[in-house]
Amino acid sequence: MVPAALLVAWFFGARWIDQPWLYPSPVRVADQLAHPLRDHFGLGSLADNTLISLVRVLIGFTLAALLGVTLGLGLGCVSALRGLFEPLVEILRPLCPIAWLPFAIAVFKLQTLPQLFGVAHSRTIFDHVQLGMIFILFWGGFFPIFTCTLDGVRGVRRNYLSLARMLGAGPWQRFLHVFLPASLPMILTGFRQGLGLCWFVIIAAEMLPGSDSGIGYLLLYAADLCAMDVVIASMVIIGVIGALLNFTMRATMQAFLRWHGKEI
Amino acid sequence: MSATDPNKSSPTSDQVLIARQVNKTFFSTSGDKVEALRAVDLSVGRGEFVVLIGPTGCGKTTLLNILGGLDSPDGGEIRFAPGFRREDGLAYVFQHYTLFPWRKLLANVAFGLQMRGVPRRRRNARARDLLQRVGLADFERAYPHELSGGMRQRVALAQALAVEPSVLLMDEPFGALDDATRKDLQQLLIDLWQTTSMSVLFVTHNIDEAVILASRICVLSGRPGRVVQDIPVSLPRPRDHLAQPFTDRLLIVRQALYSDT
Repeated sequence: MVPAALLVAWFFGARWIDQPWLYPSPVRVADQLAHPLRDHFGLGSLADNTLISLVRVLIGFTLAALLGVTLGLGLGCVSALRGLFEPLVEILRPLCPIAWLPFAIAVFKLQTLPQLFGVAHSRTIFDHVQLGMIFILFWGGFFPIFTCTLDGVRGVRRNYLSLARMLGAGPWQRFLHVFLPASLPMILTGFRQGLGLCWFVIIAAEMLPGSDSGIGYLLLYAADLCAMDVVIASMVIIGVIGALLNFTMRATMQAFLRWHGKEI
Repeated sequence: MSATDPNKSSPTSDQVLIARQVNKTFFSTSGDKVEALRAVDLSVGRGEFVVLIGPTGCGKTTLLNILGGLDSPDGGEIRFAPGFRREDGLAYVFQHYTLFPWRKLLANVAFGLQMRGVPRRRRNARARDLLQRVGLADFERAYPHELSGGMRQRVALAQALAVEPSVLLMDEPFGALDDATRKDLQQLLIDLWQTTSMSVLFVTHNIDEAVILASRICVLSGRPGRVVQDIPVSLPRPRDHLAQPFTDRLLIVRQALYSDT
């Protein structure tokens, strides 16, 4: 109801103002969305650029997930390590991932993922995956995943550990059969938050120097050329993809964890 | 300390577990000293059903945790029968959180066997058999949260029995259950205990429960906990809790509990 009303208001508002280069009609935006393979300004289509952004995000997120979970589990189980890393974590956590950009460009230049493996041009989508972007995405995804995992491990009820111990579980078995499953809900919550934040960060990162593609880049490029229909179409895509990522993560969680939220 | 004298402290052939002169003191968060146990002597015979009874906060759970190796004593010693190893000779049923919520019932019961490296097929067969014996054969694919409190404690019992312990430690396992369910589970426990050679050390503060279950009752004093009386209960089973000998025992236990405080 509300979206429909907004759409109608937008339609008539745009017609009344009659400056389509600034306030395009929803019909023109819908036309762009209906033709996702149409090339824009030689930068590729909406679909191409969305895919590029998604691939970047998935690679950065995977890296963040691997390190976040490993460090979260490690620091959660070994309190001595925790004291060692805590000050560092507290300083790095509030740092906006975008603030790493100059550093990322200084270190990685514009090197792409295939170039890391000695391939100058792989002629695949990975030619658009710059190491600097991955680095920034990593910082976006790492902290929610790390923090959630750490909290998950530290929140494991001592009773479960005592029970496991009494049933003959050694330290490694307690890790595998108690710490890990008991903190899995929190780890997956971290994944959901981390993936959402990565999607947030990539759009911003693509608008900054050093970028040449991606849905965020296309959005800003179109804005410079006053192609507001493409801008708004990009915004719609960014929102929908974000919602889909969130929904997928939540569904995965529910499928995995029938017992979650029902601790006894 | 003279407790190292082997003649005095080694369990005799019919004893599986001996605690001698066990002390334990805690420090509360405000820094106060809390003496939980003072010079506790306790022994559990082979196949015996010992009930530890005492007022709330007398250190019953602390003593059980020390015997189970979950806590260490400040003084005194714990001895086991020769050849007995804590890791595979003991099982523990807690009052709460007795099951892993992320495991289905079958996997919960099979946990101990899985930790011992028993192959899946064999441990599942054994777990199935035990679930049947506690009356939950149809629930092997259920999760703990889908069960009532009484059913969960049945599973907990099966889980503990799966590892064939020589001593089963139980910390007020039926404390949170309603009366009828509690009676059912007491009967089930007695039935299971009678079909094995295991010993049970059972903590409760319910006098009726103590006399129903025990072959011997150890009465602990209020804090700091000491064993103030050892009361053998040789009534025939099943026990009629309305019969005169039963109520006589109740009275003796009650007197022992209240004479101290």
